[in-house]
Amino acid sequence: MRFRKRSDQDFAEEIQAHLELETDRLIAGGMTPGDARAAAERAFGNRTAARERFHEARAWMPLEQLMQDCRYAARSMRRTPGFAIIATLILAIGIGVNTTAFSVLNAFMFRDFPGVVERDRLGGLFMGQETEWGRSSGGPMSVTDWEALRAGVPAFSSLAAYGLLPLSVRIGEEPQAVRAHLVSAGFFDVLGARPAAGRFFSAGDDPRLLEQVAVISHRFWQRNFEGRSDAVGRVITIGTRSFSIIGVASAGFFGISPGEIVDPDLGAPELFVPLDAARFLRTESAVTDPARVLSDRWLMVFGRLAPTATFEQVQVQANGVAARLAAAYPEQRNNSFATLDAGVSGTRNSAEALQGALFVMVVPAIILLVACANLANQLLARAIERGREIAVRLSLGATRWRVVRQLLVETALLAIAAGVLGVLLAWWLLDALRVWILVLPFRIPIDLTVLGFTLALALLTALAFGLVPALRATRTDLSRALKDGSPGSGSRRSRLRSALVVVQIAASLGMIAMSSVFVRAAERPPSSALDELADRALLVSVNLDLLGFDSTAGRAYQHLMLERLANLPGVSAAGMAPFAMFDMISDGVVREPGQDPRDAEYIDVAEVSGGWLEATNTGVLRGRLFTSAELAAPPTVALLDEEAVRELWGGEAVDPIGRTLQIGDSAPSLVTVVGVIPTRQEMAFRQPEGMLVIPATGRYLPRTYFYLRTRGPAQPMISAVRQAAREVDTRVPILWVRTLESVGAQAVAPMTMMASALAGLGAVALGLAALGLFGVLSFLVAQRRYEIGIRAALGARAGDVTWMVLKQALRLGLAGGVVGALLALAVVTLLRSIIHGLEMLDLRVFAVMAGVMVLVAVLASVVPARRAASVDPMEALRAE
Amino acid sequence: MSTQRDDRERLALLQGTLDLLILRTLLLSPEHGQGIARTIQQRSDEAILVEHGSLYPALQRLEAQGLVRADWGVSENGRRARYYELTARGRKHLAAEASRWRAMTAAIGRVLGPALAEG
Repeated sequence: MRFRKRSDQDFAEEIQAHLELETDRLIAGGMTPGDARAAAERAFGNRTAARERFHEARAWMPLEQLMQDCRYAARSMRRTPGFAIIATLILAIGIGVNTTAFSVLNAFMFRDFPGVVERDRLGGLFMGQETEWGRSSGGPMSVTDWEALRAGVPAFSSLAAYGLLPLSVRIGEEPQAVRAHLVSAGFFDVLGARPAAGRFFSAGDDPRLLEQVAVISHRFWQRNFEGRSDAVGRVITIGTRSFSIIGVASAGFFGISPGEIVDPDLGAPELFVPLDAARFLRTESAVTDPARVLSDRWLMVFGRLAPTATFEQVQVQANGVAARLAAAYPEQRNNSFATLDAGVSGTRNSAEALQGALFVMVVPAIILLVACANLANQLLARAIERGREIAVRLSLGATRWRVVRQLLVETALLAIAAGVLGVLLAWWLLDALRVWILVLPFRIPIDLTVLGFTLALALLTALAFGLVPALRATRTDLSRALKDGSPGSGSRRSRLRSALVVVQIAASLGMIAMSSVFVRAAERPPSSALDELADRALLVSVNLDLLGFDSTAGRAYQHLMLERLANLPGVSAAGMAPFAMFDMISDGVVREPGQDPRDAEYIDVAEVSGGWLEATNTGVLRGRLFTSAELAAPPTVALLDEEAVRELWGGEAVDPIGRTLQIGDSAPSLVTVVGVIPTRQEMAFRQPEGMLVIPATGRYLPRTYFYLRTRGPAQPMISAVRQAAREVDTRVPILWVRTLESVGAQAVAPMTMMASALAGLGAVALGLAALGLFGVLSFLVAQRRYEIGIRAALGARAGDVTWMVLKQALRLGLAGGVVGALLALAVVTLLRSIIHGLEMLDLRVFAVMAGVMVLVAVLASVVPARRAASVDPMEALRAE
Repeated sequence: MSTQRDDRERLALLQGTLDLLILRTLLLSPEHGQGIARTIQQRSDEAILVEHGSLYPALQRLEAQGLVRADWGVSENGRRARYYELTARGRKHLAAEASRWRAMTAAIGRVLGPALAEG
C-alpha cells in the first residue's frame, strides 16, 4: 500500500497546503491576509497533535513498540544477569548441536559442492533391475549403458560419467596411493568447474591426447608441488604409465558425490584422468568382450538439465534408453529401468532423504527438548518472582496480550543471543567433526540456509519454552497478587514444573542408559584369540590394482613380500588374506553337492595363505588345521567357523568334519571340511556371517593384507616393515601398516562414537535436569513455608522436614527414572532391530540408573532441605 | 461575520460520523482536505464543527482501509494539494453506513418522541 511509504514530510506538506487554501478562501471572503492566516490556523486546531496521530497510525508503529519491548526486556535481563547467562548457555548448547547437525545435512543435501555450479539442475542416473530376487533400486553402469544414455537423454543438455578407483602415483621415487576419478571428457563442463591453474580437458580434445593427460586436485598440487605454476606440464607416473598434468582443479573441488569424498584409508579423490585412459589403468577396462563389458558396472552417470527441460522428461527418456538396452541385451538387461536422483543429493528418492535427515537430527532434537524443558521451568519460577510486577502492569491497563508479548520478547532475546553463541559453537564443532570423524577435505560451511535455520529454531524454541510460562504468568488473580505477592494458581504451576522435571530426568537417564549399550558393544573383544595378540600383530595393506599388475607379476610380488616379511627379525608368523580382519568378505554360494541350489547359503569365503592361521592365532575347536601340502595345492580342504556350521546345518546334530561342500555354481569347486574354528567377529553394526576358509592358491587376488605376528610389541616394528616393503618393490605403495589393535578399534569406532556422544550429552542433560529439580524443590519449600512452620511448631524435627523434601525429590526422580527406562527400552529394542551387535539393557544398567537417580535427587535436595529445616515457626506463621 | 455562528452553538461531531461525512463529500468528485472541511461546514449550514486538524487522521484511516485513495494535484487557484477520491470499496461502504445511519437516527427520533423535541 502506498500509505505505508508516506513520510512525515509529505504529511506536513499536506497540512501546509490546507492552511494556504483556507487562507486563500478567507481572503477571498474579505479578510486581511493576517487575519485570514490566524483564522485558518484556529480552524485547524492543534497541528502537532494531528502529526502525532498521523505518526502513530503508521504501519510500522508495532515495530516501535517492539523496540520498546526489547529495551524493556534488556533492562529486565540486566537486573538478573545470572539467569540470563545460564539460560543463554543452556539454549546455546541445544541450538549449537542442532545447527551442527543441520549444517552437515545442508552441506550434503542442499548446497552446491565447491566448484560445482547450480547443483539443483544436475541429476544422477542409475540403472535398476527387476530380478527374480527382487528389485534393485539402481547402481552404477557399464560403459555400454553410459554410451546409450549419452545419446538418448536430450532433456539433459550434457552428460558425464565417472568411476572412482585407487591408483598408485609416482612423482619422484616414493609411490603414493591416491583415489582417482576416471571421468568422461565433458565432466568438468557439465559441473561448471573452473581450473585454478592450467586447463581442464574437454569433449573437444584429441582422443590421443586424452590417453595421456591428467588434472590434479588443489590439495594434491599444494602437497606435491607447493602450489607452483610449473606443476602444469610435469609428467607423473600413474599406475605404470606416464601422464602429463594439464591443469589443477579449484580448491575444494572433488567432483560431485559427497559420500565418495570420504575414504578412511585414502581420503578424497585427488586425480582426474580421462576415461579414455581406463584401459591402461583398470584390468577390467582392457576387456572387449561385449558380455563382460556389460557386467562391468563401475560408472556413475549424471547430466545437466537443458534450459527448458524437466526432470520428469529425463526420467521418461532414461527409461526409454533402459528399455532399448533391455531389448538389445535381454540376457544382462532384462527388466531394466532408470532411477533418477534429481539435484544429486546422494539419495534416490525424497523418502530416503527424509529418513536420513531424521536420523541425523533426532539426538540433537532431544537435547534441545531437554534444554527447552529446563528453561520453561526456570521461566515458570521467574514468573512467580515477577508476579507482582506483572500484576502491576496488568492493573495499570496493559492488555494481557501486551504483557505476554513483552515476556515473549524477553525469551526471544535470550534465544537469539543463544543462537549467536550456538552458531559459534557449531562452527567449532564442525571443525572438530571434520577433522576427527568425517575426514572431509573441505570445511562444512555455515551459510545463509543454516543461519536461517538457526534463527527459525531460536525463535521456535523461544516460543516453545516461553509461551506457556507467559500465559501462566499473566493469568493471575490481580487483587491477591498485589496484596501479598503470593502466586495465583500455585499447585497447578508446581504440577507443570514437576512434569517438566520428570521429562528432563527421563530424557537424560534414557540417553545414558542407551549409551551403555554402545559402550558394551564397543568394549566387546573381537574374539578371545585376537585379544591375546592385539598388540602383537600387524596388518599391512597393499593393493596391486593401483599399478595394474597382471596376475603373474602380482603373484610374484606377493610371494616375495610374504617371504621377506616372514623373515624379519621379531616376526614369528606371516600370512596373507584378501580382507582386513573385521572387513566384509565377498560372499560365496555354499551347499552340499546334490543339495537343492535354492537351499545354498551365502557364506564368507576367505582365501588365506599359509601362515595366516598362525599369524591370527586361529586354533581349531574340532578336527585339524591345513597341512603344508594342502596349503600349497589348489584348494581341496576347508575350515568352517561355528557360525557357518550353524548356517549350513542349523540345529541338526551333524558332524561337519569330513563333509564335502560345493563353493559357487558356475564353476564349482569341491572341498572337504577338515576342521571347525571359532566364529569371526565383524565390524560394528554388522551381523556376523559364517566363514569358510580355504587355501589361497586359486585365483589371483590383487588386493591383499599381510598379517604379521610379532614376538614383542608390534608398534615399533612398523618402520622395519615399511623398509622391507621398499626393498621388495619401490613402485608399490603401502596403503597402511597398523597394529591389529588399532584395526579393531577402527572397526568398533562407530560404536565408541555413539557411546561417548550419548553419554556426554546425557551427562549434560542430567546436569540440567538436576538444576531443574533443585529449582522445583526450592520453590516447593518456599511455598510450603507456612505448613512447615506449623509442623515445626507441632514438634516435627529437622530430620522429618528434610525427609519430606527428599521424599518429594525421590518421587520426581523415580517417575523420571521409570519413564526414562521405558523410553530407553523402546529405543534400544528399535535399534537392535536395525543394528547388529547391541545387547538388551540389563539389570546392571537399571541399577546404575537408579543409583544415579538417587544421587541426583539427594544432590538437588540438599540446599532446599536445609532451608526447610531451618524454617523458624514463629517467623513463618507471622509472615502469613 | 454574518455567516459564522458562535462556536458554542455548533454541534460537536459524534464519534465515527466524521468518516461517513467525508465519504459522502467525496461521492461527487475528488476533493482535497480543506475542500472537504469547507463542504461539510457549508452543507450543514455551519452547524457541524469540524476541527480541520482532526480531518487528516480520519483521511489517513480511510486511506489505510482502502476506502479512499489520494494523490497530489493542483487546486483551482493553482495551489498544490493532496486530492482524495472515493474507491469502489468506499462507495459500497458509504451506501451501507448511510442506510444504517438513517435507520438509527429514525429510531432515536422515535424513542425521544415529539414532546421532548418541542421542549
